[in-house]
Amino acid sequence: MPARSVCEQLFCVGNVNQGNHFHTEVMVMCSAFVCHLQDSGRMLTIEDANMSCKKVPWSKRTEINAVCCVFVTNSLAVLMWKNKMKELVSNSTTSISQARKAVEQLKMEAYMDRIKVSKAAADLLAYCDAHIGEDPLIIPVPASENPFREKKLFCTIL
Amino acid sequence: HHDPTHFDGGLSNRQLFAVHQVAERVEALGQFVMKTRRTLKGHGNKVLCMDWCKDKRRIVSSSQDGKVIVWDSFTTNKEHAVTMPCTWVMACAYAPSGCAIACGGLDNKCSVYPLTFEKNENMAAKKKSVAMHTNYLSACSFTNSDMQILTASGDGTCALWDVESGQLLQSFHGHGADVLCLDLAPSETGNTFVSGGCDKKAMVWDMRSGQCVQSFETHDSDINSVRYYPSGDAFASGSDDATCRLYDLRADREVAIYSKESIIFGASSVDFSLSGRLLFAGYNDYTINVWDVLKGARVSILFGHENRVSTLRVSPDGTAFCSGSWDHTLRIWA
Repeated sequence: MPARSVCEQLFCVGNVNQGNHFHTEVMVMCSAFVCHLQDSGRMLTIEDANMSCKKVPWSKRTEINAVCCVFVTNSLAVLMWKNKMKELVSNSTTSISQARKAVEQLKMEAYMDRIKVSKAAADLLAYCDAHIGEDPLIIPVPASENPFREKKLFCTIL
Repeated sequence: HHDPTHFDGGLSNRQLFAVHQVAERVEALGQFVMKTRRTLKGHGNKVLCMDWCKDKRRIVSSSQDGKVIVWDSFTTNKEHAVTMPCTWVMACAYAPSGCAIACGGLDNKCSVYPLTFEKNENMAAKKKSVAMHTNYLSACSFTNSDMQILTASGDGTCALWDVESGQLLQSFHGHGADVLCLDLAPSETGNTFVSGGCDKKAMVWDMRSGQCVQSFETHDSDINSVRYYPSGDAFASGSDDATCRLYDLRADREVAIYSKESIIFGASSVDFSLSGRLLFAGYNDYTINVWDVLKGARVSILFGHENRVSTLRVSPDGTAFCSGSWDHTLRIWA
């Protein structure tokens, strides 16, 4: 696969909060590495990014497109963002209050009344059963009633 | 520990009890013949989002180049078009009345455009800015009326807004990272919605109190799409971990996982057929997989798009579904 088409599939924007400024950076990987990943069929990870990416300013992205690969994956963009945030936020008070909030939330969720999966699944089955006859994608309606199906000149309704 | 180079096809030991175990006696589905019935061409760049109008005919779609187009899916004609001032319009939604659309993306806002049928319509002039986030808008949806909009953002929050005044009615904090998707519960079941994010969590919220009432964290990667089961008792999610999962709200746990060893690319968008028996999922490997929700098996794989499928919605009456892709087109399948 030519490096160009691999690039087109992958494009990433990372938003990094540095103080009061939001910088948008583009992650750039060398095309050979991207092609290698594509061939091996595995997903990009944060380690890949750390290993072979360099950040360039968003304003230079058009230059980059011509020369290197620009890649995208939502999870990668956010992983980079989270890593950056960890460096900046090292306030212990914040993490204690966050932990308190998490505990309160979990306490609330713990008191929920739950039903058994066997009952829940049975109800899902029952709903399906009750409505499957009206589902046009399972029991197709005659072509004349479905505006998307091709209209043949002569058709028999079975 | 999770090894990203190895995909076990979802055969995890976490699954103690699943829907397919209860559904063993259920009749298997027959062969499916689903084809592309319409191709909507006109976007100049990647299609990122689409939504159906309640009239089961019109579609709004948005793309990377800033264009938002309203189509008549029967004829494939474009009825309205507007160019947003920003690129990457990641979210768009049709108002329940069919008289307006909402959209947004890298501008961090959600704007509402009324639709008119005037001869020289200037949509951009009537634009109303409703939502303001501190990061990109990833999803938006009108509630039961044209008066309120629910938004999800890269700033990690969701928010409910009054369209007329632009006022923030409620905000929803709890995700630890970007929120990528949301879906409102079917109206009969009350005021809740589910959101999914880059923190791998799906969270169910009470719209009135702003509280998170349930959360689910079984995915191994970002959740790109969430959609309620038609009864409102469950919801499905599609994730970058290449699986789709079904969570039951009353059992408060994951009850099914839809995956195969051969599927290694993320699922970007999911939706149920009318009865809830089929789950359509669009993937980053350009395909659409059709899953039997009850049996957990794939019943069909649909080829056609020439780049990743980014958005997928079933029409309001279930006669067809529409997929949008990075190949600049939308396809209607039936």
